[in-house]
Amino acid sequence: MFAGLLISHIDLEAPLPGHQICEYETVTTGFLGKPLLCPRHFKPSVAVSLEKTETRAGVLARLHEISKLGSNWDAYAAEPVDGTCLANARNLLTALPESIPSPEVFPNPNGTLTLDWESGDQVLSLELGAQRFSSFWQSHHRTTTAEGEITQEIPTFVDIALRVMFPDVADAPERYDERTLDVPGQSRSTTSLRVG
Amino acid sequence: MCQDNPDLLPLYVSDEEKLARALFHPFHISRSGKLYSGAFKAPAGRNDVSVNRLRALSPAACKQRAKAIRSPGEFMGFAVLSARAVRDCASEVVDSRNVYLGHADIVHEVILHKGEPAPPEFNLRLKRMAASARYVPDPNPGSEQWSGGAP
Repeated sequence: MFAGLLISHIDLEAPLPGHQICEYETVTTGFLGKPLLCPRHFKPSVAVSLEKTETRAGVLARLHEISKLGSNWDAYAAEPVDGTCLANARNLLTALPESIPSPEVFPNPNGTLTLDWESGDQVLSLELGAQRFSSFWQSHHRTTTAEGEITQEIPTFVDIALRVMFPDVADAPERYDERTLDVPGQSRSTTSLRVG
Repeated sequence: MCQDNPDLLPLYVSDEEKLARALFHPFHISRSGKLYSGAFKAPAGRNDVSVNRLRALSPAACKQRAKAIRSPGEFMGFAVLSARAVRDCASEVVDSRNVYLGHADIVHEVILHKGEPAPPEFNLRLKRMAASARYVPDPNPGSEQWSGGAP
């Protein structure tokens, strides 16, 4: 469903400001059955605010409501949300394991959709266009960004961020490169990595 | 208020000034009352976001201006933030009294295109901007008067 990735602003080797390096590793599972070991300094947070978490059905119903938006829905000349954007969001939500909370979803005036997840002090924001995505992940005082083409796979960046934010999914472990966020086994032909 | 006298309203919008953006759709607001960044994004092909200067216009006057906008949805209230919060997020606030006295625009450095996601760094800044804003709902949208809290 999604692939193609450009990652920047990665500084995963440095200790977190105000934090000690966590000496443990956490096993989490990927969407594509590719579990991995988290970097030791990521301290996974499970402080999910249940009052904010909607069911998958609830979010899909919200997408249905968003699909009904017409031109100028915000009174400031907003575009209706593109049908391909909506399909991209539905595909991603359908692919999410049940253990990953549903995101908050909202439309943007230029016809795209934003999906936001929060867990403790971590935030993952994913904007879905018709052909491309952009995303940022705020985690323990550091921010990582990514953008790329939407294909048939969930973006590696989003996959990793969600696994770190919501580590309750487990499977056979596999390590990814902490420096590049590169996941072993993921196709490199559709993945462009840049570390800034 | 200096809504009738342009001489009393400086062109420069100071950092301390409060700005009110009229909202017309619940998709800009979370269930917990948090504002989404979409409330501060311009439509495709533009980079200006209309706001009212509360230094110049009372909440009631802002509401009257908002209700004059042709909208498919009902006026819901205001997103209120300071000019400093806008500038802290690398956008600018400029007076646009050519629209009406008390009108201003948040001007972003990024122009968004239809169906294309914004650069992630821009989205990060807009999320910060939205987090610094406060939603002030209108408890009586049908009325011409403002009976909500202080913006």
